Amino acid sequence: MKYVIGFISFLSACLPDLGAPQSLILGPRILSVRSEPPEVFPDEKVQLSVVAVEASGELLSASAPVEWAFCTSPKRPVENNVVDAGCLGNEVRLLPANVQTVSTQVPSDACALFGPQSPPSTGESGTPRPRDPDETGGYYQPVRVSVLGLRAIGLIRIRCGLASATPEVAARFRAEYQPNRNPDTALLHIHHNGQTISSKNLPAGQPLLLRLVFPNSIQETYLRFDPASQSLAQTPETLRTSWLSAQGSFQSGQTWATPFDENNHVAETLWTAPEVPGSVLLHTVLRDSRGGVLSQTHPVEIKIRQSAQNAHVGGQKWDD
Amino acid sequence: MCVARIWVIGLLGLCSSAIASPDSGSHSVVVQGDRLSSGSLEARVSTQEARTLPGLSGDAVRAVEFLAGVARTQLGAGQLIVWGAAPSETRILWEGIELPTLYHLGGLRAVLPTNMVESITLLPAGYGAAYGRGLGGVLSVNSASLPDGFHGEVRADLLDASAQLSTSIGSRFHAMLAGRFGYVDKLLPLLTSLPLSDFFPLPSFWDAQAQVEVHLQRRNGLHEGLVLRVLGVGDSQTRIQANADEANAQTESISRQFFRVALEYFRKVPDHKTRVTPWIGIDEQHDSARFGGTEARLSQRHVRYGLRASHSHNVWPMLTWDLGADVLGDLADVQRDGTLTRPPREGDRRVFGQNPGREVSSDSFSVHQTNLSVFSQVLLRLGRIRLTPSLRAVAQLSDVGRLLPRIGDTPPLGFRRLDFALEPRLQLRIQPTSRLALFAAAGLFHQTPDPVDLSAVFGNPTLGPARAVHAAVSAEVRIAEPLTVEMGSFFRGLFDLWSRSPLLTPPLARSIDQEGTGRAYGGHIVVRLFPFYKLSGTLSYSLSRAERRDHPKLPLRLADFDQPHVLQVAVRYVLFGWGMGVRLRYASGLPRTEVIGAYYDARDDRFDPLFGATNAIRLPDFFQLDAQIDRTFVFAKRLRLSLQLEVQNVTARQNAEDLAYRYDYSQKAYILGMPLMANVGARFSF
Repeated sequence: MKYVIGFISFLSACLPDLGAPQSLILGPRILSVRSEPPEVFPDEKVQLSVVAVEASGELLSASAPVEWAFCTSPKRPVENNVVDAGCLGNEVRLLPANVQTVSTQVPSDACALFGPQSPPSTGESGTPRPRDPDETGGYYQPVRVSVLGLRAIGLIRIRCGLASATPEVAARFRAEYQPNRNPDTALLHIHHNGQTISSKNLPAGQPLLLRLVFPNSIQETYLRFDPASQSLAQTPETLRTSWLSAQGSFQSGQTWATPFDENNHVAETLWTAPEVPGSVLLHTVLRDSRGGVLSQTHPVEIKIRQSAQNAHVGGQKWDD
Repeated sequence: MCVARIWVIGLLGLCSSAIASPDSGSHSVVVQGDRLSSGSLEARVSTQEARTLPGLSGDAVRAVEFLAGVARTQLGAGQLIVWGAAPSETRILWEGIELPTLYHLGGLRAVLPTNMVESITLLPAGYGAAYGRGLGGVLSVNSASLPDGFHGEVRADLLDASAQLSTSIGSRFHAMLAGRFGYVDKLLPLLTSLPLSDFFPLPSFWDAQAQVEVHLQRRNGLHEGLVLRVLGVGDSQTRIQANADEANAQTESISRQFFRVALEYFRKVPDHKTRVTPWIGIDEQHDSARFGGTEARLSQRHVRYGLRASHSHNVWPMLTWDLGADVLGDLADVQRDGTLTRPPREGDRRVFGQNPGREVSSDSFSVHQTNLSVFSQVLLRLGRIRLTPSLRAVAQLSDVGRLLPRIGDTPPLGFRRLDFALEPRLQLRIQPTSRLALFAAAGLFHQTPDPVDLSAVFGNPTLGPARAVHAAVSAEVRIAEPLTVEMGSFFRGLFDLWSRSPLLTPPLARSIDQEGTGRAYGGHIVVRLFPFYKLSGTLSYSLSRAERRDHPKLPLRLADFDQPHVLQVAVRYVLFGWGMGVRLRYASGLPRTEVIGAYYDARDDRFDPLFGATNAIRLPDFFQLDAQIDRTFVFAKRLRLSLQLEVQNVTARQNAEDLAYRYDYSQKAYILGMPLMANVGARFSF
């Protein structure tokens, strides 16, 4: 009773080409900002460090000046960015040190400005709205880092307690919560055609499977408060790895970590090695969902001749 | 090099060519304004006219997009922007029954099929007191009466298939059953090897209708009867923004259904018309989004009910008096989790694909809103002058289950608010000569807040109604018998608008405040050529501006939907029974907020944009030419086969639908819209 013939004459690509991906280092770049320990109470001391690279992918020289500052302006609840624009301006407290690693004390008002405690009065009528936590229940003191003309925001997770829980739940949380620890070890394995190969003899122009393997203990569990059910639950961290290099190309520049075997987790991606032989630096940044960071640099050698020697690469750790 | 695979939501419009239900016997594409009805500025389009309009895929309800002052929306948005008003400010009524939306998700189809619709009427501003609850306009969809005898129709196309059967028993009982099922999400992947699910938010939709008419009395000018109407609508859509970096992939899903059941009683006798329509409905919508590791969810369930009653009495030949009541209730249960910035609001500064903030909240609450209005309207016919003063009295009760965010096991404290408002309206029509008619209208309007905005965590439970003042003038000149020219101008002032608090630390349960203002103003010209030697056409041009100020201390900005220039030309010619039509559209690009810098968020390994002034730049202008050819074959007295070929975007112009940025915001590119598309199809009816 009815027929129809339909055709689509053109389905042209509407995808804009936005240039090189984030994983390709084309200019100076800040790779990570790390706090050790990553989670503290206000007034406690932390060691802050930044990892940055030059356009070549080489790590920033130790003598390069770095400006550190604590943000003092909270952000609006409806701000998508990590900080208020004031933190990029003058709403900061500068730290005296000018080096890549500094020791400092977390501001005492961090939980009021950036946490669940009652914020300072703004002159408006009514109780001020406390900050919302992130999906892990965490609050963070932002730190601004300026180096090589670049600006980055790092976050220090602050321990402020629970604001909207019953006293019993809040007490249990205080007693049982385990603060976050930074990931401290990970090994890079490189595979070609299903075999592990030496980092000193990578085939040029070939796709290589990069595996960052780390022990299960890196993935901590933590006590998380669910405001909907007003209950506490043990929650595993999620871990993801950023892959970066000034040469070659990654299939995926940010990947999730998944269980590998009974002892280890793994994050993996495909990297097509450059066609030109020579030394290349691969950078990995392993982040946990509570703000812990492990930044590593892995020097590799690209050769014309293929090799299938078994080896693994021990990453040079820059955050300690 | 990695190519960012980014498509704008609703890009499925790429496949939106379709088969209409053309009638080559119809020679007109004149989108008319019916000046003899009570509204002074209303524009009405009959289904017969709308079927022949190119570029609408045969969807008569979508003919509203042709009307002057209706802006073009982003491809696939499925929104109605009338004279600078935000989509949520224009009400959609189907025989007086409030509908939550006009379009299925993706904007490809209206939720009411063409066969059910007799006409659509747009009241853009300054309408009479019979309607309210909106700061913008009213779109009224009028159902067709069921014919005598047994009738049926089947049709299908690349998007959907539908069927309808109607029958009558004697002259007193008529019944109809109809349904439509969209399968583009299943069919399209079969026609191309492209990984469409990565690029297109393929919508899946259905709707079903039933109508029963019982004519109790039909004699000597008396017509009394009952009409039962049932409507069900369902949609779902998922957008996957593929990303080379798996940890940054974005997914957004929407699923919604709504149902309506209404029973209309009507009685018409000479000089008296009475109509009473109680109705009830259920609306459900579930939105979920995942941006890398951040999730957002919003679930709403509404039980809506209403009653619309009106009585019209021709007291004297020169005076008609309308009196009525209009009740709308909404029992809403809302569950929301995630960031405050999802879903986005009008005026939010953001760019396509931008990750929301990491801070999350959760709220579960209920709201009961009841709006009771009574209205009275008098139509005075004083020679060449028609004056229509009217008044609408409104009582609005809002009962929110939670005044403050949940803290521990503290019992919730509710909040109740009762508002009263009077809405005077005035319409004036003067016809100095048989070729010239002048119109003017003004009035006061209110709109109640969206229940979702009454969250103690995400919004503000104490929000009250927003207000608008409308003023409009218009003139229509009949230059020659087949040619008319209409010119008009309007102003809409907006007060007490709901907007996000600009404070760094807003008070508790005050994330949305009510200090916004706005204005929209502009004019339009419409030239209509009625069928003249089988040639007909319409040209409309609108010039307008829509501005908002979110807070008294913030600067005035362009509204998200501001579109200064909208030009539409539609021409149709019938040659040897074949109907041929073209449609040209030109529209200013929508406003966007410029990104002037960026910085690195080391926690999430992403860059955050620094914005310039809100909505200070625009997308490039939009231009599109559509064409169609159609013919109807009549095989027997009642057997009709209609064929249609439609080509959209004949010039294959690459229109920009949005801006996409590189990961560090150092480069930008346009997301392009619909390429050239063609479709051919048929419809069979008896």
